[in-house]
Amino acid sequence: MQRGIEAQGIPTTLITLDVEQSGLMRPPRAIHPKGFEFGHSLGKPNDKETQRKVLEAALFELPERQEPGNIHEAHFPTY
Amino acid sequence: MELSRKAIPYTPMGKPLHESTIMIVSTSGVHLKNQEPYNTEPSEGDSTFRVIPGDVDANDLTVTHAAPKEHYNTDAPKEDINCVFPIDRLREMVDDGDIGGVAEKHLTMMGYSMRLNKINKETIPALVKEVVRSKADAVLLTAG
Repeated sequence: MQRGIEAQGIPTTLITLDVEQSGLMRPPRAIHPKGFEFGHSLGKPNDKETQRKVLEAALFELPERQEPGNIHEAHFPTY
Repeated sequence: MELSRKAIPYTPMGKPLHESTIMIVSTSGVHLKNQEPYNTEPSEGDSTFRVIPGDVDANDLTVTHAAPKEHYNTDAPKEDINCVFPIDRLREMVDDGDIGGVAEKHLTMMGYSMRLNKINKETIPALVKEVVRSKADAVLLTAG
């Protein structure tokens, strides 16, 4: 899906916890919030601080990352 | 268009983040409470997608997903949809001037559907057309 959208000229960024599956697809830009559980890939319920930090980390990949195909591990001590 | 697995399509960001409109495309099984839930029957699967209005109230969203609970526990997003679909956090970023805007609609699917052939041949091209039509500057993808 990410590849299909990028191929139409729209940049994408992915938040994934399933590094194995997502890694196979070689995403153009992706982050992996380390240690997060499925069901809260941006943070636990009502943890606005962590959710915002994860969202910012994913969006900051858009202008910054120029090395497609890698998933960048990201650490969020507030999780 | 058929894409080679080896080639990674990569579109450079055309404008700064604080001027960009962001759209969410998610396979987390999010949908409006009054939309048809995703089909969690494994023998049938679900290859459809839902359109979520950009001005949606987070309280009107819920999650239906076929994944086993030990793999993807949907209790958390049912309590706070921003766990997997960060619509309120995006709006805060707009208010703070960090991004330009939130798209007029968002798209969701349910992962864990085994109908991959239909999804690749029919669903994804239709979904990509919706993304292009929406004129979003960039897309945030989330899973469960």
